Amino acid sequence: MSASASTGSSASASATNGTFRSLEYGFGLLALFTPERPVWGIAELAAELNVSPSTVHRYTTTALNRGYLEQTDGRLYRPARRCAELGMAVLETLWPSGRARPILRELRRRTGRTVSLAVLDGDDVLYLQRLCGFQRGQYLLEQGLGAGSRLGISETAAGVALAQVLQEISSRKTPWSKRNELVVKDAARHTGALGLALGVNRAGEASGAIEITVPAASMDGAQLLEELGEPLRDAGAALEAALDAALDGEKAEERVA
Amino acid sequence: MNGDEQGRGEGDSDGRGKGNSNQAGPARSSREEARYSRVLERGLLLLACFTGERPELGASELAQMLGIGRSTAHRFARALVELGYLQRTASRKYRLSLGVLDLGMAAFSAIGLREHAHPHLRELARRSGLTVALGVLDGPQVLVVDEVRAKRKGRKGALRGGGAGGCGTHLPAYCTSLGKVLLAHLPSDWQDELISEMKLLALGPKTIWSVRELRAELQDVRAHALGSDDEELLAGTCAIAAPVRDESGDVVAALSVAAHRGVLELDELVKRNVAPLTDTAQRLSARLGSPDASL
Repeated sequence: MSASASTGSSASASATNGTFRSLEYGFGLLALFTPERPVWGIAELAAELNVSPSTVHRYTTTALNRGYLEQTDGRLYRPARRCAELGMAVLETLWPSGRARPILRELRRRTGRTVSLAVLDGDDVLYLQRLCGFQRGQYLLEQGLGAGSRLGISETAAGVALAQVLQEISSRKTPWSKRNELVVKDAARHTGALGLALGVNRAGEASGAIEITVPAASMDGAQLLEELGEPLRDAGAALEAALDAALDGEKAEERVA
Repeated sequence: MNGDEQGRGEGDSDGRGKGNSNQAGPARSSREEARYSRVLERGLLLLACFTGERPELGASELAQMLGIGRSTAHRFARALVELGYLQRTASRKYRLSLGVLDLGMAAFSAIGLREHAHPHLRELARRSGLTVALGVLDGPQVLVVDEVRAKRKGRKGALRGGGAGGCGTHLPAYCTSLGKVLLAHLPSDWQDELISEMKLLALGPKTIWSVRELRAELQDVRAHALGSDDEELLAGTCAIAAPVRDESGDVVAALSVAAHRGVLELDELVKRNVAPLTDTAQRLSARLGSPDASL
């Protein structure tokens, strides 16, 4: 290897390392913004990342300029809309949640309750969409949950429904389709919420669940099933049909390709 | 840490500013550059190239979209794979990985409606010099989620506008501008059900207490996307309200500006404040992800 080639290679490696380090710090800074701690100041970020405040300032200025952060009244920083848009893009690739939006919207219109779409991600339930209802007490149920939020499987009706569907599929006792049970669960008792969920199958594999959440004070489990079971089943059937149609479309595209 | 300095020197020849929205903005002065991370900017721009419609992209496509060299695009993409924000596909392209959910999305989702809206309310209160409120429907009532009262110069704390009663207050929906906007945008069966739950009382000198008249009023509110209350809740106060939409495009909240009639009559309130009110409601809707609104 010639000296110049060696120098070029070294410069390239250095640039690669520099790029990596800058991305690591810059994205590491964004990852510090969590539901538990959504607001940070420059000095706190610098201490957490173990870099100088001026370095943090450079990253926050960049993220601010690109719409990923915004400043609060107290000159602190919090995530901005672009963070959600980026997250939605990955959720959309994970599951065709765009097809679910009009169905969830119709379910909210029909019931007036908060409705969600969730999938399993490891040991978590990952919410892909969540639309707040307008019936009495629904707004006050909102405890900082939204698209991208995670909860433990046993904490939500959606989690139990999803686990149930997966168990049925893996046991192969029954055909996967149209056998899903409605699940009632006082999902997050600490918030005073009661959940009703239905697992939704997609070609017998990756499954999602639609969930309706109501204030626990407004009805008991039996009433919940009686009043909202039918609209939830209708929404589940509509979503499965939409997913089947999407799958057919994908297969047709593959054949053409 | 000097990664930016190294990355910056390399990136200057990558042809920024070719008009692509995914490309970086106009060239900055060296002083501005010292306060800016072009490496982070480029990383953010690269991730933003991926959408539901374009889930997989190769290095060449990324290079073209960003207006940079293919090797640079490849280097950035590889680094983002290593950091867990991208993954390689079987066809040797790239796609977003679930790691991007950790880049503030859950934190953004956890921000409540009030926190999203508060800066907008403050700005509108400052611009209008009046009391501004945000409400959501809570059954047949409006729950006031936030309220910002403007202060009059020279009289510290003096109210210029008729308030909605403060944050956490429940108000009747049928005789408030907030409530009319929210009722007007409900599906008709829900509108009927909630109206049937209401006891329409003449709370102010001009309260609409006939169901037929209220329905006609709600049609008008929906058609104009503007609600008003002229001494319907309380004598001597008037207010106007506009709808706020969420990511589904549905109306989920309403934003109002209120005044004492001694300060402004309803006609004058509309004339002076309808534009800033609707503009603010649009910006808040955009923040909530409404497809019909832009930031």
